[in-house]
Amino acid sequence: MKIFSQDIVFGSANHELSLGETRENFSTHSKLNIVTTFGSNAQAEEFLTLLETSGLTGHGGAHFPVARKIRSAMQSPAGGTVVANAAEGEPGSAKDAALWQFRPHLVIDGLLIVAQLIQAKRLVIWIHNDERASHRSIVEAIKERELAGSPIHVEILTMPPRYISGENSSVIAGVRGEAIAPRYRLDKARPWGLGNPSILSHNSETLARIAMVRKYGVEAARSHLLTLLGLDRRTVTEAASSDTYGQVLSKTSGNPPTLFGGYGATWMPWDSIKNLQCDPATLRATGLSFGAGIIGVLPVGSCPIVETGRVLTWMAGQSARQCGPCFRGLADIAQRWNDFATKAISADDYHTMLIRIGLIPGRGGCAHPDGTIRLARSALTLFSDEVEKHLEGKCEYEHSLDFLPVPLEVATS
Amino acid sequence: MKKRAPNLEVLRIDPTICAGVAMCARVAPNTITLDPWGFPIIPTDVLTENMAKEAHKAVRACPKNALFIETREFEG
Repeated sequence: MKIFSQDIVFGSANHELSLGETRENFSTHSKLNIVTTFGSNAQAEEFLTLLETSGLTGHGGAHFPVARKIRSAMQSPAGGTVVANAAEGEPGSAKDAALWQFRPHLVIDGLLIVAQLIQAKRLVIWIHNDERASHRSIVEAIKERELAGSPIHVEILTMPPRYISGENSSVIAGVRGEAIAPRYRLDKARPWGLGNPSILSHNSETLARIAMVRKYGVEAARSHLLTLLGLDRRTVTEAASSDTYGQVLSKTSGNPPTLFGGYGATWMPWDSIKNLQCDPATLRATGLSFGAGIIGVLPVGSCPIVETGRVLTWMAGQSARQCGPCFRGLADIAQRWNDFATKAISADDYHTMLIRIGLIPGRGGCAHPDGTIRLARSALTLFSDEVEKHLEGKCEYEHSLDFLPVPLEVATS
Repeated sequence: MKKRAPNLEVLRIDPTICAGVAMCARVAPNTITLDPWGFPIIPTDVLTENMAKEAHKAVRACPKNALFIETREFEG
């Protein structure tokens, strides 16, 4: 059971093209008759069991089991908050935008379902202030519900478009009215925001899937949104768990380096992913992560070492500047990496960079530095031949094309 | 009679608070080292008796209160 019938293409200059897919309004959506309320505790429990059986995990990147997160929040007193996290921090991702611009009511239904389950009294949609098209669609959706006589009370909270403002503990802090920055916690496995009462934040796709499971059952949890990076576009496509990456990107030829998951994820040679299934659970079993669902197959003229340097620079700039190993460390690594990528550095300097890379993981309050270093390390491991070339001042890929989307640093406040 | 097991201590840091003042490394030179950017590297293992002595000094010395000791029950 899929959310979209077609791919959604976000072209250059923020010009959205939908090939046949139209935005749902409330009257078309309400024909689906998704029941967002529960008649009794037994019915709520039945749905939670269904969610558990479906194996649905959070689609923001961490893939925490959704039912477990909701159950934890149910332990807290009623009167909490549910947040739809629409702050899509990855410049390569467009799936939240696709959902809010084409299926806003589906995501809202997911929000209402979770609110019912944990008896929340406050509903929040959390979105970057530059996501104008999505914002318009959300406002429109709320208005449509009001006009149809089914008003909902949802707050839209906006913030500057920083990568880190979509991070879970940042979202919780922001919703509490505190500074929007990641918080340190001892127990990283525990979903953040549980308490008295809870603030529960879910990724937009997760909420849409919850609504889909409510309507269609466990099958609805077996497809996933991917964003495919192109030279001038990002294409949001929906893959079934049984589809392989090779089937989804059937035009890919050769064995190009491929960004797999997102900027805090890993590089993969195309050959080692083309036969894998687009399924978070299957990937986890092989030690890989679905991440945020971004797939960036490098085109000819684009070198993974140089591209990694571009991403490192941006990720370093996106640090919340709280933890030294992150904001000082990543900036240092990014600079050293770019020297390594673009000029012949000495073996000693390369060795220093490696040692410093090893000093960063696990030392930040959130996973931002860990993810950034994961990407860097995967480049070194997978492209060891290319590393040698760069140490000789050469580039096998003859890099001339900056491919991965990296925003220029601009003032955000 | 079962002998009561000792509590095991682990030194922890809240990196969002740590400002790289580095007084910890001065009072606990055998337990805490500084990274190339001036921020403390904290041992992740259970502290030995000597390290624990230093670690407690470091906790008291930190002007930002970024360090703390976590005790774990001995599970042996």
